[in-house]
Amino acid sequence: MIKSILIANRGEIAIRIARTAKRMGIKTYGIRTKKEPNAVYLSKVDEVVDFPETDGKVPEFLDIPNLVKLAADNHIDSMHPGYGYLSENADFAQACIDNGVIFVGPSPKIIRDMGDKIVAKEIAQRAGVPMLGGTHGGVPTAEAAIEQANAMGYPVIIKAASGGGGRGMRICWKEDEVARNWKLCTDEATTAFNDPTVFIEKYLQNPKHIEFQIVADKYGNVVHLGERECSIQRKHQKLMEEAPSPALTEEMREKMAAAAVNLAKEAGYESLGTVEFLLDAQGNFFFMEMNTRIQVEHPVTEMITGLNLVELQLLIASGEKLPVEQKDIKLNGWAIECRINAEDVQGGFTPSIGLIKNLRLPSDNNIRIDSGVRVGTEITPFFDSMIAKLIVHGKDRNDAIDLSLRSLQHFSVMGVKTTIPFCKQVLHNEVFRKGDFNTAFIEKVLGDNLIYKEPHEDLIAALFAVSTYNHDNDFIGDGEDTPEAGMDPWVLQKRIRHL
Amino acid sequence: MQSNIQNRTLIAVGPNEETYEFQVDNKYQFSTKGQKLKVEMIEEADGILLFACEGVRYPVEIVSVRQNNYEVMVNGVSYNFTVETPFSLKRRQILAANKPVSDTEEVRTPMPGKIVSVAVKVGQEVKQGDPILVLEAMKMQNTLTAPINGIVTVVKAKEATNVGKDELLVEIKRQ
Repeated sequence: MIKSILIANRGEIAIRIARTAKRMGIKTYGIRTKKEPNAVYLSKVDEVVDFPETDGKVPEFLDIPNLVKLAADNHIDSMHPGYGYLSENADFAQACIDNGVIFVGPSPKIIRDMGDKIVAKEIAQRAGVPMLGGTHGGVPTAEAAIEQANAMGYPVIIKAASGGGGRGMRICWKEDEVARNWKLCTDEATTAFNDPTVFIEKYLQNPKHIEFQIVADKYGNVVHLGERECSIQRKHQKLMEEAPSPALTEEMREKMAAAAVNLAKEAGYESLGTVEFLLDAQGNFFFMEMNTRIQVEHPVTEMITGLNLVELQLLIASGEKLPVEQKDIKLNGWAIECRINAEDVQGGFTPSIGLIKNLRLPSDNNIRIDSGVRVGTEITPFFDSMIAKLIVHGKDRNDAIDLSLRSLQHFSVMGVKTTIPFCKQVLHNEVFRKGDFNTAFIEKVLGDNLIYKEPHEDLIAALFAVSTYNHDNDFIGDGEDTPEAGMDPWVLQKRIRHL
Repeated sequence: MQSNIQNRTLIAVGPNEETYEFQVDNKYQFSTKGQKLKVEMIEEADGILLFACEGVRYPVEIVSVRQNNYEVMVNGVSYNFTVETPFSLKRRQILAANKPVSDTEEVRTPMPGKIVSVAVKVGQEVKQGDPILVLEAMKMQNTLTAPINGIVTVVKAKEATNVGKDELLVEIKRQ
């Protein structure tokens, strides 16, 4: 069993990992960086190690040699990468192993296979998982791109093999767009991912985004933990997730889960992983990619399965067998996660930076808040804008929606703008409540109405401003000084004419 | 000496010149359209500010006060108002009508960040809404767009440089 762990991450996920590791008797280490030396996550670990002085060119949590050295120098058993940063970096996993540090995640080979979208599709093909436009490998020339696109039928999408996170993708609606987009995509892939390989697949318009959580041990046991519905997204950034998905029938769930499990088996997968699918309006599903890490939205799965995913990750990394079998997995009720980001939704989801002057979190049965901030935390442009996640567990979907809304009503953040009014707007929306939405929801259904305002809220705001002004100006002068009070209105009218 | 605040009128003017008129009955009561509204400010023990109107409480925040301009938040939604008296409002409207329209518009950084790419050159013609540059902050890329139709006269923004808040990036001459 792992005895100590270095958490190569920050914010809420560092706290979440530390919480479970401590409970399992593992000594936890957090990394202090110069950018946020007083961060909350540092107070939630057993030991704090300082990141060494560097030239600052490589951000701390992307610095493979220094992170591995920190673990080795402090005789720490294992490394947890969290999500983002180096969590899907095969070189990091390999460097850990080479230095005798257990990497909490799959093997470098699996990370590399799944990180290469072309290899991942080939594995999915062998596992019999449906996909868009089959696998044809990379397209080395513009002519090859046009030939493949014509064979598939339009629209098509050109993607970077090493891309991800919504970057390095171009959609072509007709033949004469293919050559130009192939060139642009290849150039972008070269500069952004240091790999010019691109491939083509059929482009699905306005799909639903549904992912399956799987977990596998080193002994070939693979179990799925149901799906997560992640269609509420903007520019490929998820903003709200739920489990299960209102779009799936029991029959579809079984089919998709079997595909995810087969894919994991074909890949020789171990540890926690997520198979992402696109679902079209007719209920056909297609493999998109597999993520080889813990996801931001993992708590919704924990809520409905009652399992602790970080605990499973740590057990598997320690070489233990999966403590559960598929027949033990029961999905209970409904869970929703709202991401509370420091963003100005009214200003186009731009980052909102500043000091958290005050924070009030809701507290109730069946709600969980994973947060990495407290009063006094400064929101800087250096890091991700997510400051907290609100996760609720209801007996059914309506119950979960209502509990989310009630909780958001009691969630106050002063000092920065947040996505709370946006989350309320989604939860109040009739289309969302019916469960009939896809990735175009924000753009097509919400449009410009991105935030929820209570009836007459603008009048209340105006009254609040007026009342504050009235207080502010209460004790200035004695009435004689204020022109409105002291001056003859006729004189005032006359003066206005001279303006 | 108590100021003469009773029975005066205050008007909140929103960003689109929409107006909300209130009569000040006293510090804790205002009237609008014949309806009396009792208000109260409550500061909770944890510092959260509540504004109560007719007994209904709203979490609020005073974001900034500049002269008579108030940026406030109600339920996490931000609002901007200028508080005017009937006289100052009239002045403001006349001044606004007489104000010469500036022929250049400045594009400034809305937040500190790093410039990823610049899409315009000096002398280039741009239309309102055209992308001007991409600014990266908090790992998000934000496209800044042209506020007006015109010709680019100044480009201060350089790719791959860090910029602070409110720095001049591009100037556009109106056409």
